[in-house]
Amino acid sequence: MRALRRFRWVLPALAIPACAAAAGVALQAAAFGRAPQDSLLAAQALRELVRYRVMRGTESLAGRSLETTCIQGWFKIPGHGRLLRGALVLFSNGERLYDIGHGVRRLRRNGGVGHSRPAGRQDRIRFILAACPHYLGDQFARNLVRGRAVEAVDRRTDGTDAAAIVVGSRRGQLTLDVTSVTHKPIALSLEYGRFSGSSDLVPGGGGAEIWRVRHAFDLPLAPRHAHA
Amino acid sequence: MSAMHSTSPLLLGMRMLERAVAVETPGRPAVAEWLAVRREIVVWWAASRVVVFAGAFALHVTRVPHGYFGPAIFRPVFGPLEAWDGIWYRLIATHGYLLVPGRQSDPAFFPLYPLLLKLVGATGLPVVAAGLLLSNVLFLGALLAFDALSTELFDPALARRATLLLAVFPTTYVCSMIYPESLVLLAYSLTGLFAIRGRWGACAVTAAVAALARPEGILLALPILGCLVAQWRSLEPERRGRGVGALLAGPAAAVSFPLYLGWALHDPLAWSKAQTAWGRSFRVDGIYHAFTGITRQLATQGWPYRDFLACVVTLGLLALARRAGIPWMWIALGVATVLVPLGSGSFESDARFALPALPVYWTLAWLSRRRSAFRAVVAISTVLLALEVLTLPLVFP
Repeated sequence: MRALRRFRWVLPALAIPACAAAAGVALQAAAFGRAPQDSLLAAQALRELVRYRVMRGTESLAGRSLETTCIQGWFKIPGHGRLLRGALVLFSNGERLYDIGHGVRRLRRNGGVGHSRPAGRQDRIRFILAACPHYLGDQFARNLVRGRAVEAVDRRTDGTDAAAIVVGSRRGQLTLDVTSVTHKPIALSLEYGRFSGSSDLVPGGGGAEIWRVRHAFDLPLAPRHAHA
Repeated sequence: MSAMHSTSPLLLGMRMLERAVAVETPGRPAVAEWLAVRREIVVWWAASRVVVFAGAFALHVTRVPHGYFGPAIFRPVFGPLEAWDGIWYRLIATHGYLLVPGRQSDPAFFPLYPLLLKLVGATGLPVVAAGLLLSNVLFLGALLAFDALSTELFDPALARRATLLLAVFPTTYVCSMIYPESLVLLAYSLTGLFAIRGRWGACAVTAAVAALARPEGILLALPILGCLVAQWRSLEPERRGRGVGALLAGPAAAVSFPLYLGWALHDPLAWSKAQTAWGRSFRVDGIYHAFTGITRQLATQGWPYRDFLACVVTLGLLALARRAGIPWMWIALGVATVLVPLGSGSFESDARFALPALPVYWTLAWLSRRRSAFRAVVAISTVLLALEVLTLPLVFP
């Protein structure tokens, strides 16, 4: 009994921190609740999306269908002293669009990077539909970070169980379809004013794809870039 | 008949009123006296806040300098006071938490301040106004609590000087922004006060508040330990238990944040992942990297000087703290408050993080014993306070 009395201090010593932790969790749960399931799904899809450096696709816009390959990373651009982060998109008809942090630009037919002009609205939409992972990720992340409504709808895309994640407003809406289990991106569609387009996506690609795109942009291939 | 009178609602009401007045009458002079003794603090708080708000208003009028936010920061009347992390705290109060992979997102911010923001906002005030009101009122509370704590530790003159110096301290401009620093200052001061007075239950609550407001709140375990060791022999077993409970309350409350994130986001590590996206991943050799990297940063940028110099001055004052008679555990708290954030490998924002290093203000008050020295420190602090506000569009606190 005397021994028990000696350890009487243990009960409040343990109860007070236990109460502090429990009250802390309860307060936060009551104030903020759980994150919406749709936003959590969008965040998981974003995590999967930005794992890729290469995105291949078949995009349809204004009745025209073209194959696209986007590669992204750090590029040595002529006229710039340091490596620039960006994304290059090569279309199956040889057209080239890119963005190295100054907006989407279109390369002239026979020129390399440096011989370009700002892309028009339709080209910018084609660039988005090429689904460059970081570029597309930025669009989704901006909505998620600012707490804007994100909607996720279960559906079947090309015979696969998928979730369609919709962001944007009435003015412009992006829908990314991802597989239900792995959250791998499989399709992208965009509604923007009079433009409406979609793209079937195949994420990832080997060194050959990277070499092909860099070669088309007249950019030398460093060995460390040859992975996807 | 008399029994009927004694139970009539009117009479009961009269009696209750009489009792209320009877209780209030001796209280009024006590409150008036309490306020009169502290009027100086309220005046200094108001004057220093006038400097901060006038600076913010001057930016609104002049619309320079343009910085990270461009002209957008000047649109609201006190725009710079709502900016930087204030935007994130408002987002949390409005939408709750969400970890956005690989991006700067809100789980990097501890929950208590946005929780209070949400509560005050629930009264119908716009979130921005709620934040500005909350921070400034909490800062007044922090000054009053700090004065009480200082009076427990030092002579009243030094205690008051320290409080007034804190009121105009250059980095206290963040106490008028939508930032949790004024809440942290209040919780630090109250925790110290309750620990010294042996009120362990209240001490546990305020330590938990500090740890839910900012992760550095767990460092309060140092002064609590100091007070507990000093009182241990004179305490009954149950009070010893409460003391140990108060010691552990801060870390336990801090743990509740990852527990909540595990429940809300299915990711208990969301805080550290978000910290990494903000460039604040903590490493064992972080402090070493902060000091080795600072020369390179200073050679290329101007702003790291602010945080580096604040860190050096703070550490210098803490080195003198023992001579001012400050207890060791409080000095340890000050040193840890300054050095722990450097574990991220950077001096970024260390001036702000060092704000709750309370021994700094006691040392400064001890050094400015002569009236001329005190005036000089106040003048320099006030000028720096105004400059900090005026440069807010250019650099984050």
